[in-house]
Amino acid sequence: MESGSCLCGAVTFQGQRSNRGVGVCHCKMCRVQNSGPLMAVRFEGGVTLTEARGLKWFASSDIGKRGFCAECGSTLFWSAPDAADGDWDVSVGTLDDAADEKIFEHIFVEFQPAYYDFADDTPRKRSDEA
Amino acid sequence: MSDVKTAACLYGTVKMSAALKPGLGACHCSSCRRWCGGPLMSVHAEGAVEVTAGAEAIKTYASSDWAERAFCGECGSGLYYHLQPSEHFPQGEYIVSACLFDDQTGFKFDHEVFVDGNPGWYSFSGEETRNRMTEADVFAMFAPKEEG
Ligand SMILES: [Zn+2]
Ligand SMILES: [Zn+2]
Repeated sequence: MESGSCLCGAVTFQGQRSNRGVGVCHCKMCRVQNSGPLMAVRFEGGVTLTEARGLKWFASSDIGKRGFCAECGSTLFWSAPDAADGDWDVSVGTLDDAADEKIFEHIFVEFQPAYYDFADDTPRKRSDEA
Repeated sequence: MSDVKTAACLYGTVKMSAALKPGLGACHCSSCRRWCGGPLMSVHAEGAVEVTAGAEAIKTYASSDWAERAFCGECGSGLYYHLQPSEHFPQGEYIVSACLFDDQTGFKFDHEVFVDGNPGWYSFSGEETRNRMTEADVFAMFAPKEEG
């Protein structure tokens, strides 16, 4: 069982990690909300909220909504609009144990500014390949 | 020399403008990574950030005794990290999310801080081209200078 929280503790959650690894999204919406690329993992069987008082959702587009803590501003979850409750991407930084992770792909790379890149050699996918 | 640029949150409620110091940095500390899911990419403002719209939507969270983190309460966009004014930094320091700026030209990724906070399974390419500071290096830079 894995646990995580926002910076202030007004959102906490737990669940079983999938072994997919960390996906990195460089699209502009992710970068604007997260102050950098979104680095996310998936939970097998979904996320169970253990404290939800801070959780607020923002529908950023027709294809996604973003869950953040309205008390501290931590960005936690990404969800498709019709996803089952808890079937969300989880920001890897919110996990209590994120010491040993592995990036498996980078997506929306045509929106990535030229001034940074990651050192790993995992696949780089444009939005039409993701 | 500073460069005035405009910035906005994801939904566009909060709009800001700031004169920017040169350079762009990434912070790997555990608070930044918990706040924004990964390293925080930022630019330093010259003086204060000017909020031109949506000031009422801005919420702040004091993440330590010396700094607060500002975000848009409507859309959750991280806005800036404000180092509180101190004897040695009378205005404090506004460290603004680089991703909010409409015009990204001239941004040069030239430093990384809290590199010892990086868990080690990700890194940016071109490390050798940047100034890379540990936690001790950062605190030494902002600590009061010893007198005589
Ligand atoms: Zn919180
Ligand atoms: Zn906003």
